[in-house]
Parts: sequence; structure tokens; C-alpha cells
Amino acid sequence: MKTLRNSRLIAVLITVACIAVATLGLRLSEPTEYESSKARLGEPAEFLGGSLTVEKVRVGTILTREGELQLTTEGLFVVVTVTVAAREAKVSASDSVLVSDKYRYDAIDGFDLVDAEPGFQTTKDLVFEVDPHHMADLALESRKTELIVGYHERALVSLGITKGNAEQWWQAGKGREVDYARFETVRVVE
Amino acid sequence: MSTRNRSWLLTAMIFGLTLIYLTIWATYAYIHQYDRYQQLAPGAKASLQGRTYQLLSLTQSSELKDKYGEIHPAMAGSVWVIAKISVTSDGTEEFVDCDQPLIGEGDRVWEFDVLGTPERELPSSCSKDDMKIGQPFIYESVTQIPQPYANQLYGVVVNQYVTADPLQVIRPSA
Repeated sequence: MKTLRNSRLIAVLITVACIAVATLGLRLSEPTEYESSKARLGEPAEFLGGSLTVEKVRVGTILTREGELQLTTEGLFVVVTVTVAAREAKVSASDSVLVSDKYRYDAIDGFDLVDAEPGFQTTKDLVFEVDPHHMADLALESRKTELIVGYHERALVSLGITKGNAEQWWQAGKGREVDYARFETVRVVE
Repeated sequence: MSTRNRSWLLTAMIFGLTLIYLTIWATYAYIHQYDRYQQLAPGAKASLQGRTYQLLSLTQSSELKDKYGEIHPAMAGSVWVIAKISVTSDGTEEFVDCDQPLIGEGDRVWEFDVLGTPERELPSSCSKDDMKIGQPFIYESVTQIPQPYANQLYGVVVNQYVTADPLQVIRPSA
């Protein structure tokens, strides 16, 4: 019985040591600068050596793609037009979601990745379906997840929907069509 | 299995996972200690796992003619870059990689074909079925890059696999 206790103790010690070493590795590789860059609608947020800008936000309950009906909702569709610009390395904004303190909305399938090759900027419509009664203080969060260096860079851009004007957004979108572009557009960075 | 054995098995699994993580992390840290790219001499061939690659030409143009004779202008502020590449396989590898990216100053890397490329006379991809062992197979990689970077190109990166070795960059004969 004593041997069993000893082997458990050694197992626990080795496990703790492994976690400590892995944690030390993570901490050593973590840069000291910011992890998240914040901006407001229309302002570029620094992101992966380039930038991420929310150009415009549109709402509606009837979703169309270049005029063709796609979906309707009891909630609200929010179409966020995003531009990602790459100055040096390629920039990939993935896992884009709308978040507030309490709520999180994932992009409708297939709409959450925007990337740009060096010297180019890509503009794309991201589509979300939200609860109109829980949309105050929503921000677009895009990130690049790093597995090896354990450093997650994140851009957080406020959409300008506040507690004070959330009802106006809901009324503006209720019963309205909102259209999104099927394809992204690519231009040379100005 | 006894409790003791289960305990040791769990420990071994955690130890193994930690070791894998540390190996990847150490390799990542190591390869960022030196230049990631190694530019070869003009016209030199790069060898990689039973294949040799040579960049025959690297040209630029404001317009690109497709195989049907239609002209495609580059988007505003950019130029077409056309890399004509020869690859020779000794047949040891099942998969032949022909998706090498373009590299320029500042380690800017452009993947070919991501912006859409018209169909050309030469193939833009290669498979083992198209190639004959020991004989060069010529293909063409085309992309667009911003005009300001057009005169800052180093060549084409051959290695694409996960490796700690410097990646070989081939360029055409002077």
C-alpha cells in the first residue's frame, strides 16, 4: 500500500513539474506588448502587423445575397463589412464573432475568415444573427490563434450599438432586407 | 490494469504530451534564431526529397494572356508575376509539390493563384501522373503583387514542409 502511495505521489510530482515547465515555456515566449487592439467603427485596429477596419454595419430581418433571398429571422441579421489590410506578412483574421460582456454570436457558417496577402487589402461582409434585445455594446472580435507561442492577438472593434440606441437599431432593421456580397473584394493597399 | 499501472500510464501520457509540446516549442524558437530563407545562386537547382526544382524565368507584366488569347489586365496598382519552373522527380516520392510561394524583400510571401489566375498554355499544377521519372516537367505559377514590391523579389521558395532547415529560394539565371 505504501508503494502505491509513493508511486501516486511521484506521478503527481512529475505531472506538476511538466505543467510548470510548459507554463514557463509559454511565459518566456509571450511578447510584452498588447494582446488586443481596440478600435471603433471606421477606425483601423492594429492587427498582426496590418490592420482590421469595420467599414460599416447594416441590419435587417430578411437576408439577401446580391438581391436573392437567403434567410429570414425573428431576431436580427447584422452584416458587418470588414477590411483587412496586410503591409508586411499575410494577415488572416479568423474566428470572427460579435461579443459583449454577456453575449457572444458566431458568424453564420463560412463567413468568419478574412485574409490579405502582403500589400493587399480584402473587404468582406460577415453575417451574424443576433437577439435584438441583447445587442448593446456588441463588438467584432477577430483573432489569430497561436498554438506554439501561446500568444493570441486579437482585434476588438466596437460597432457603435449602445444601450441608448439599441432599440433604434432594432426598429431600423425590423422587416427590412439586408444584403451582403457573395465575394470578397481585393485591392492594393493605398 | 492495476491502480498503480494506471497511475504510471497516465503519468507517461502527460510526460509524453509535454515532451511533444516542448519539442515543437524549442524547434520553433530555434528556427527563429537564424535566417529562415537561403537564397541559392542564380539558375541553381534546389533539391528536395527526390525532386529538383529550377526557376527558368521570373517575369512581370501589366497584362496576362490566357490560353484562349484573352488579355487580363492586372488590378490597379499591381502587376502579374509569372514564374516558369522546371521540376524533375526521381520517382521516390508519391506526392510532387508544385505550390511554391513567391518571396520578396522583408520576407513578404505571396501564395500563387490565391487572387485568381486565368488558364494558361503551361500547366499551373503538377501530379505524378503528368511527370516522367528523370525528365523535367515545366509548369507555371502566376500571381499578382503590388507594383512597389515588383522590383524587390528574391525568387520562389521551394520547401513548404514543416522543417527546421532553412528554406531554399531559387532564382532565374542572371
